[in-house]
Amino acid sequence: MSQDRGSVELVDVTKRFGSMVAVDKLNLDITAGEFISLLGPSGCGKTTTLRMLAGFEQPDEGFIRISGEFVQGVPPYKRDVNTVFQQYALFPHMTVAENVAYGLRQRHVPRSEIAARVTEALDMVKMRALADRKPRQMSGGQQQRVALARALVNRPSVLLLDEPLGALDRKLREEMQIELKLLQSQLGITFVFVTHDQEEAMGMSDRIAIMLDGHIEQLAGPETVYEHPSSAFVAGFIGRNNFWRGVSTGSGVRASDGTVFVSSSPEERVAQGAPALAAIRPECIQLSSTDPDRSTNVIAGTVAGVSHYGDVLQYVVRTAERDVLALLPRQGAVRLAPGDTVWCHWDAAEVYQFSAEQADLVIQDPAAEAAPE
Amino acid sequence: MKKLLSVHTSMALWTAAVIAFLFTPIVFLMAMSFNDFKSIFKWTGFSTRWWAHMLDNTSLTGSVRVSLEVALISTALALVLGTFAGLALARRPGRWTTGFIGLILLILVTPEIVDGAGQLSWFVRLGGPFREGLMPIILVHTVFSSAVVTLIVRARVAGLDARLEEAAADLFATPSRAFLQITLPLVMPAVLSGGMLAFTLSLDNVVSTSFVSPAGVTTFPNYVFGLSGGIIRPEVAAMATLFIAATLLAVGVVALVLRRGGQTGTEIAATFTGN
Repeated sequence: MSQDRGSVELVDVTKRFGSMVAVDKLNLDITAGEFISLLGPSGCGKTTTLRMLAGFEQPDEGFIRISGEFVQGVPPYKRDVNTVFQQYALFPHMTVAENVAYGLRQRHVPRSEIAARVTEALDMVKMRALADRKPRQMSGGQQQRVALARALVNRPSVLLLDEPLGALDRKLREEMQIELKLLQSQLGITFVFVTHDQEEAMGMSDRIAIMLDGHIEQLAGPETVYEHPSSAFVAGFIGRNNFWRGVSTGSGVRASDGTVFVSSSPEERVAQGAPALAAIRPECIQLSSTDPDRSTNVIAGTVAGVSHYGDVLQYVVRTAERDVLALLPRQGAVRLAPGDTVWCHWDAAEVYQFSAEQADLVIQDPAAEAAPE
Repeated sequence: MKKLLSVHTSMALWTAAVIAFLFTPIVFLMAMSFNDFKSIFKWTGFSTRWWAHMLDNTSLTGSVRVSLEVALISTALALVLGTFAGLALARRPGRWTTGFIGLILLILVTPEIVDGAGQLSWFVRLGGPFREGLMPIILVHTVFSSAVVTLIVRARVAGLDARLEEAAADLFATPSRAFLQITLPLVMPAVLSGGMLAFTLSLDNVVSTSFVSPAGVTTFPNYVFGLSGGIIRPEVAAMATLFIAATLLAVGVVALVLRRGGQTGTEIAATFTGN
C-alpha cells in the first residue's frame, strides 16, 4: 500500500446541491507525488471536488480512493489529507506556533517531537521568526505561509490547496508560485491545487484538469493544453485566443466575414459544412504593412491601438467584423501607428478548428476589452 | 483654529455633563451610605454605623443571599441553553429558525407584568416545587436570560468564519474537540458578555419576581422595593455600594481574563457591549 500513498482516484463522482449538479460523473486519476491543478471558472465544480477529497462533502454517486483506500463516509478528521484554505482560516486565538502544532496535537504526537516538527515546518516557509505572533499581526503573505506550514507539518499523503494565492498581490503571488513548486518537488507530496487563474496553473502543475460545468474538459500537461486544446473552451481559457465563427471547409474554416482559414494541424476536424470556429493565438499573428499577396490565412484591417508591455507589443487590429489581438516580441516588431492599414497573417500550422458548440463561451472578443474607445 | 478649539471644548463640557447626569445618583447613593441619619434623604453627618448595622439586618442579608443564588443559578442555566441555541441558530439554520428567533424576541418584548401574571397562574396550577424556595424565581429569570444569551451568541457565531471549524476537522480534530478548542474559545466573549448581562438582569428584576416569589422568599430589589413607607436606610445604600464594587470587580476580572487570552482593549470593550 505504501507505494500508493498519495494517489487519488475519482470514479464517476457526482455531487448535487438541490437541483444543481456541481460535479457531474467526474473521473480523475492522480499519481502519487503529482502536482495537479483543477482549473476553471467559478461554478465549474473545482472547489466542490476538492471539498469531497477533504471530506467536507460526500459524493452522491461514484467513489473516491485516496492512497488506494475507499474514503466513502470517512470524516475529514480521519483522512490523511490536509487543506490550505482560501483566506487561510488560521485560528485567530492561537499563535503561529500553536496553529502549526494543532494537527500534531490532535494526533497525540509527543511534545518534544511537536516542537521539533513545528520549527522545521516554520523554517521551511521562512516564518520561524514570527512563531509567537497572532494571525492578525501578520500580512496576507505571511498568513499564507503559516497556513501552508500548518498543513504540511502533518506530512499528509495529499495536500489540498483551495485558491491559496488568490488574496495576494501579483508580485507575491509569483514568488509563492515558485516556492510552492519547489516545496512540492522537495517533499514529493501530491498537491491538488484549485484555481481560476490559468497562469498559476500553467506555472506550477505537472498536469492541469480544466473543468467546466462539473466535468473535465481536458486533462493534460501545461504545454499540451496550450498547444493542443481539446475544445474551444480550453483554447479560450488557457492563454488568449482570437476566435472566428464560420463553416467548416474540412481542412479549415470559412469565416462569416469571408476570411478563409486553412489548417495544417491534424486535430479536431469538423464535418465539412458544419458550423465551426477558427482560432489563432495572438502571438501567432504576424503583421505587415504591405499586402502579403495571399488569399487564405490573411485578413486586412487598420491599427486601432498599440500597447507596450516591455517585452511584447500588443496591437489591436480592427477588421470588418471583429477586433484582432496580436502580440509581437518587442525586438524586430513592425512599428505601426493607430490608423495604419495592416494585414494580419499566420501560418497554417497555427490554425485551430473547433466545433461551434462552445462559441458563446469563447467569443467575448478578447481584443474588444483591450480596444481603445 | 480658535473656532475649532471652542468646538472641542464645548464637546468636552457636554460629555462631562452627560457623565455627571448619569453617575451623580450612584455617587450620591454611595455617599449616603455614610450618613448618620436613618434615611438617605437627609444628610446629618458622617458615620459608618450603617455599614456595621448592615450585616445584623438578617432580612437584608437574607434577601441578598437569595438574589445572588438566583442570579448565579439562572445565569449558569441560561449560558448552557443560550450558547447551544445560539450555535444551532447560526450554524444549522433551517425552516424553524425564523419562528424560533421570533419566539425569543417575543420573550424579550412581552411586558413583564404579563409574563409575571401568566407565570404565576401557571406555577400555581403546577404547584409543589413551583411554589417553593428559589425554583420559581430561577425558572422565570432563566427564561429571559437564555433569550438574551441566545441572541448575543448567535450574532457572534454568525460573524465567525465557518471554515475555522472545517480547518480544525481537517487537522484531525473530532467534532467535540473542534468545539472545545476552536468554536468555544472564539465565542467566549459573547458567552461572557451574555453571562454578565444575564446576571445583572436577574439581580435587577422586580416585577415578575414579585409575582412568582413564594411566601418568605424575597430578593434584594424586592426587599428594597417593599420597605415600609419608602424609607430607605443607609444600610441599603451600603449594600448597594457593595454591589457596585462587586460588579466593577467582576468586570475587571473578566477583562483581565480576556487580556490574558490575548485580546486588545478594543476587543474587550466590544465584549462588554456584546459585539
